[in-house]
Amino acid sequence: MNRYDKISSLIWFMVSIGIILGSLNYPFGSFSHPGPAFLPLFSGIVMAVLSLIVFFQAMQRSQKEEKGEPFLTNQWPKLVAALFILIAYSFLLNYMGYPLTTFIFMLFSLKVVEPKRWRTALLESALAVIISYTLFEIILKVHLPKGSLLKIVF
Amino acid sequence: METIHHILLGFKVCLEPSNFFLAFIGCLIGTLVGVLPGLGPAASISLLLPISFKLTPIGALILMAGIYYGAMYGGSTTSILVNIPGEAASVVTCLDGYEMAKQGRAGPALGIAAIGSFIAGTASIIALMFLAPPLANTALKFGPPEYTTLMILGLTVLTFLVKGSMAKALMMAAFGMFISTIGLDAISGEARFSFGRLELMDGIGLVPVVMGLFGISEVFINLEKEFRTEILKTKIKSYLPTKQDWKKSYKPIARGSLLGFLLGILPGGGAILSSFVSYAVEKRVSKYPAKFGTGMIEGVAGPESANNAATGGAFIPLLTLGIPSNVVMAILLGAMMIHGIQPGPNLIHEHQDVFWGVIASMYIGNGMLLILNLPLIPLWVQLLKIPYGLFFPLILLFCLVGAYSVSSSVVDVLIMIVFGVIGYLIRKTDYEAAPLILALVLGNLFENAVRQSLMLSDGSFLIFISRPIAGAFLITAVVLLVIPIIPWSKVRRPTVGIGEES
Repeated sequence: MNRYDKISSLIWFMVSIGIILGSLNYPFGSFSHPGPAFLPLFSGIVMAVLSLIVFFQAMQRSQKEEKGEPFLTNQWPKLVAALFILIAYSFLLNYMGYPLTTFIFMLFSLKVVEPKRWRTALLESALAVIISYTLFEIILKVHLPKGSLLKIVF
Repeated sequence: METIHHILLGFKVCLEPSNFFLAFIGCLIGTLVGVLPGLGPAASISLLLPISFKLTPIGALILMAGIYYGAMYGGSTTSILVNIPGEAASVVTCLDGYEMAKQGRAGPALGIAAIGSFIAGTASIIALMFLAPPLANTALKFGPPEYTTLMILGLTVLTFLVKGSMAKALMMAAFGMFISTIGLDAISGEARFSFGRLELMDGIGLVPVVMGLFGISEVFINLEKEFRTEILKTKIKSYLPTKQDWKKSYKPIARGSLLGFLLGILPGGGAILSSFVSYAVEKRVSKYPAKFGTGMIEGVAGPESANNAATGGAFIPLLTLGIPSNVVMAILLGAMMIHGIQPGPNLIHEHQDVFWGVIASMYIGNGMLLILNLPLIPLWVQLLKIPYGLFFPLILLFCLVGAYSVSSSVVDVLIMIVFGVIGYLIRKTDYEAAPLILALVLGNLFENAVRQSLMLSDGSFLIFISRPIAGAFLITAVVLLVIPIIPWSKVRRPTVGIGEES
């Protein structure tokens, strides 16, 4: 079991209440003609019941059995950095176009998230952009964004 | 006889250059994925889903199937050489395989793993070939109530077999069900939980969720760890097992094949469970059980055969009933639906070329893998030396482009990232992602089946019990749910990390 069970189960309980309340907005229909609220409501109720079960199971366990590790390891800055650049990528992609955004993403990952030498980082970033562009845009014809901002500037 | 005719059709389809090439690529990627720890078949198939849209349905399935059973071949390499399982189905191979390597017998260990895998894989395909059509015919008699209860059973078995709390796993399944309801309801046209956003009207796609839960979250989890792999500096002289080795191995291979196939069919079973059970069985029937863990070749031959046989078995529920038996099959089901193939008992009849083409590709694939695997091992060993820090940005990039390419939308990318975070949190708090995925894929099918059943029965829930087959499924599911609750029940849930099939 996990020492965060009490918190996690309560969070899930709140999520399930949200789902139940949300599904009440839609018609339930009758049992012979179930409406759109049927499955969301059912899922929400099952989640609510189960999260309470997990919560009470967690309450019953003795404190000694729990794992002693903290939730976030000392590597957590890497995770925050990775998350940041992923989100940034999503927002920048349409503005700056695929090649530039990808290059920035790779460079950031290779210098900030898990730092490597400049030579390695630049080389791998460039190769990644070239190879992925060839693979996705040219071979697979995925049509990657060209960049609305760049179009204005150039 | 009819079967021979069909399989020849299958070979004709599979030997078309593009399909043959895809089988090769699938096996190659599969082996690579199996060798590299931190990336499993579910994750890599998810990563390739967007690319598969550009392929024909047959091509896509051949590719993905190749990755799946290819990974079972590759996984043994690192287990034997480095004592790190390349993927969860090869965990038990570490126990005796690594010991054999330390004794200078890495070659025969790798050899017997590959040969056993080939024999078991081929045997399971033969069984699949003969069993699937009659099973599909039986399934034609299934109606909505049978489908409903079968899906409930599948979800229950999967949650029964997970490592941790069954309650948590069931909660994930319920959550997955909920997510499947987001978007336009097919029957009433009501837009559920879309918050007025156009992008959510189509629902939350399988691709961003799966890539987030398995791809992105896996990277987050791995970034926290620090891998240090020490590769055994043995020279591999010969891959050929000795006559002695053969004598000891042929029965474990046979047992592993049968066991793996049967456990693979079971919804929720799969390759991981098969390998564990095979190891336990071999230890039980051996004359020297105490020697297991010191380099017994039976401990490699059995489990490696079992995990490959399980891949063949796993296709049966998917191809005959349209019910996935594990996470990888669930993703394949999603892929099939995206390609417009409706899985179910009619698949074999309506898409003969798809069914037999995929089966033929599995024969060819297994053959390719046997040839590929052993000579390329030195190459795989070199790849293991690449530090994760150089590797992970590529995985993330692949995910980003993949998610974007589904509908040229950044919204899908953001959904993927959200599920990446959810996936990370889920794994840190010991919840399982597999039931969530299975429920997400089955969700719409399940909802339709339930609604149709209730319409048939005019609102009565008794229809699920009064029809014999449906009733049998439902009762089995209830039994599985109740077993862990009864304190005096002697049945222990096998504690296997089913969710780690990624």
